[in-house]
Amino acid sequence: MPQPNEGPHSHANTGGCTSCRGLCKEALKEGIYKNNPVTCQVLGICSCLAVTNRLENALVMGGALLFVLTLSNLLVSLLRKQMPHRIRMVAEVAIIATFVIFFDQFLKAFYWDMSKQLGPYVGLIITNCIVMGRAEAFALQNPPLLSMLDGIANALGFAAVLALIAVARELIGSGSLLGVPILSDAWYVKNVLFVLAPGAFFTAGFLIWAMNAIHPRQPSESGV
Amino acid sequence: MRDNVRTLLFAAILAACCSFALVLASHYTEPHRRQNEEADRVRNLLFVLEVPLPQDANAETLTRISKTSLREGTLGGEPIFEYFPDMPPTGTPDAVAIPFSGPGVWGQIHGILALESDLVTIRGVRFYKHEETPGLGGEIGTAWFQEQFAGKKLVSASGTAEFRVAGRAETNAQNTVDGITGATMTSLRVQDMLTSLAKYLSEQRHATAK
Repeated sequence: MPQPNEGPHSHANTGGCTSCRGLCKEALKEGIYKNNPVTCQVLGICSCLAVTNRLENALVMGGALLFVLTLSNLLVSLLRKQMPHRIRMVAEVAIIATFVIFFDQFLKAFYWDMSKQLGPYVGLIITNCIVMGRAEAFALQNPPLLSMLDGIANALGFAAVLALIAVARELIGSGSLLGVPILSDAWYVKNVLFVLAPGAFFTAGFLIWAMNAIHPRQPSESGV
Repeated sequence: MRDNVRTLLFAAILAACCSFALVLASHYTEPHRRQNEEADRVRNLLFVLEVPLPQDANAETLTRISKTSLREGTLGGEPIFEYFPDMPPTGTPDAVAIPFSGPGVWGQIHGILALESDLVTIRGVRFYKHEETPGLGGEIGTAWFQEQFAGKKLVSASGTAEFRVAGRAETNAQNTVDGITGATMTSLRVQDMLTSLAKYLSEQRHATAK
């Protein structure tokens, strides 16, 4: 059954996209839920631990990854047939770095306060394993639009996990959400542990456990 | 051989394209970035000196106010900003702002310290540019940390020129503020920076007294 809401593949690209209706849906499902980059592959943990003490930071970080991952996957996939195999990784890093610097400059020009909040972590997306991982594992073997979709899915998966962790940490650690006080100082004692790095480890650990409990991975999938 | 040429050619073209894109991006955002930095600097100066500001003043207003009520001066060779509430400037300044900087954990920490005209009592402090860990050392840029400094002195009760960033139990001392949990290194660097500034100012006070 053709699905009308999967329009982007009906035009433009000819690289096998007419037969990918199932694949597109699968790519979205894999990235966001079944093979989530953070909870299943445990990638991108550095920024996941560092910027999740406030929800606002986590959302901007998710947005940054969405921008970078979507465009880098698209460009790597477009160049995949021209790219000499020996220098493909250097080329991927150059492409990723370009998009990351774009985003960093954009923040510095138009969202000055946020760029100060995030400090070095936007720049560190260059070394985020999710971006490189998707380029290597997916974009090099798949047509552009499908790769772009895979990038969007993985970035959304990353952003969702970051947001979940940040909600827990900001609420428990600072008693607020998006900077708005939720739990009153009068009766709630802030648990500073959740603002610190260990709080991120506990929260991320619980989340991974919960995801595994709800959706246990098949032995063949996890490679055991 | 043909493979090598192809590889080199690909690398060169990709590098050229990426560089070109980055130069373009940098070129278009530069005026905005510079404006932000300048507005940030002026806002910090005025804020730390407690100059009365209109609600949501824009960059232009800030620049105008800074031009009319601040005067650049020097203190023993270091640039300072003197605040005169009344124009034309008469007598001693109401307060003095001193820019300072020093090494943090990941990069330089830049700040401005505002002192009352006695050059000992702190009116306010701002750490406006730093690369400390967000949520940990980065807390030096937040209100709760900076607000503690108002009214503190750059000398201890016994008269030694030093400043301390220590545990909460010690914060009733006139030269001590509460440090940041989880960011001991940043707290210590801030302590070093302010202590050396305190020593420098004490030397300057003695030099002018003689």
